Amino acid sequence: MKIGIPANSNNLDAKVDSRYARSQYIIFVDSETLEFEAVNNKNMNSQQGAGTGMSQDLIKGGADIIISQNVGPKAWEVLKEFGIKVYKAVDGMSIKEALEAQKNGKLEEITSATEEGHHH
Amino acid sequence: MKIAVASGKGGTGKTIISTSLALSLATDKNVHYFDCDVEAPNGHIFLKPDIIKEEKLGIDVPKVNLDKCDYCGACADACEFSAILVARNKIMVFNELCHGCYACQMVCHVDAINMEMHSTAIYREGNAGNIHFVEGRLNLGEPMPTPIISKIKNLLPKEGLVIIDSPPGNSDSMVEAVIDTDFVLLVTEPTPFGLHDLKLAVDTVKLMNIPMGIVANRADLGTKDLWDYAKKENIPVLMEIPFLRKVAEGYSTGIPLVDVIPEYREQFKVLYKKIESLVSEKER
Repeated sequence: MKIGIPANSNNLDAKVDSRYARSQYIIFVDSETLEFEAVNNKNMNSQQGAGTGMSQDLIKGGADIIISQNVGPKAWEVLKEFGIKVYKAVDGMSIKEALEAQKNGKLEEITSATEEGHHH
Repeated sequence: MKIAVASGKGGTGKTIISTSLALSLATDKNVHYFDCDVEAPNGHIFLKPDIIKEEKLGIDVPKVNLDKCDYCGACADACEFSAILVARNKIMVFNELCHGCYACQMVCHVDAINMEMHSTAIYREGNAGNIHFVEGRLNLGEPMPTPIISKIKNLLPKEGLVIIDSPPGNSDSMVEAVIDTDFVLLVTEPTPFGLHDLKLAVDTVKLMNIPMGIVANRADLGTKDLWDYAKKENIPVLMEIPFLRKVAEGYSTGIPLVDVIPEYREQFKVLYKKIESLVSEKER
C-alpha cells in the first residue's frame, strides 16, 4: 500500500508537517518495503488552491491512504470524493514513527476537515 | 477625473473621506461614486442612495461535459489555482477557487468544457441626491473580490468626476480599484500602524505611477512621523482632520462628516482644487 505524507524534509526521519498543503515535500512510501520517493511540493507557495492541488498531487502520485496532521475543508472534499482515507499524525512525529503507528492502528482516522480554510 | 480613495491600514476613515468628498463636490459637479470596497461596501450607509438597479455579478466557471471528457488532465495542469482537478477518471471543479480565466476551456482537446456564470456578488446602482451611486457587494464567504472590482470598473463613465472607494491594503484588489485612475488619495492616521501600512500603499501606488496625496485623519493623535515620512517622500499631506467625538458619533449612526460639520464642505472643495492642480502638474 502506498502512503502519501506531507513532510518537512526529504527522508523518512522528516517530520509529518503540521501544514497539509504547505509542506516542503510530499513523501510517497510503500508501507511494506518502506521504499519511498520524496517530491517537492509545488503547492507550497500557491497563492490559492493549495489544498485542492495537494490532494490532487497525492492522488495522482498513487497514494492509497494519507497520513497528515491536518486537512482543510476543500482538500478534504477532494479526498472524500476519491475515497482516500486520512490518518491523523500526532504533532512532532517523524515519518517512520507515523508509519509504525498507522500500521499498529494507533492513528485516528480523520473523518472531517480539521481546520478552516486559509482564505483571507 | 477619476480619484481613488485608498488606505494601507483599514479603519482609518477612507469611507468618511470618500463620501464627504462626493457630497461636497456634488453641489456643482456631476459626481459618480463607485464603491469598489466589495468586501465591505459601506459608502451606502452615509450616502443613502435610492437603488434603481440590482443584478448578479459573477465569474465564468467551467462546466464539464462528462460524455466528452477523456480525463487527460490538461485543464488541471493549465489551472493556476487548482480550481479544476483530474485524477483517476474523476474530475472536480471548485467554483470558489476559479478566476474565470478560461484557460481550462482553451486547452481542452475534446471541447468538453463550457463556461457558465457563477454568481459571487451583487451590483447595485442608484442615486443619492445628485450623486450617481454604484457598488459591488461580494456575497458572504466568497474569497475573490478582484474579478468583481474589474467588472465594476468596466462600467466607469468617461465623463464627470468619479470617486472610487478602494479596498484597504495593498493587494491585488486594491491595485485593481486604483489602477487607471488619475489620482490616489491615501487616508491614514498618524499611528505607527497607520504609517507602516501607508508606506506599503505608497510603494504600490508608485509602481502604478499615479500622483498621490495623503489625508491625515485623527491628525492630532499618534506621532509626527507621518509628516516626516511624507516630506521625505515628497507626498503632500492635503488635509488634516482632528479626532472629534461628534464626528465619531455621527459615523456610528451613518451621518457623514460634512453633515456633522458643514464647514468641512469648503475644505473638501479646497482638497479637490489641490488634487486638480497636482493632476495637471503631472500631465505637464
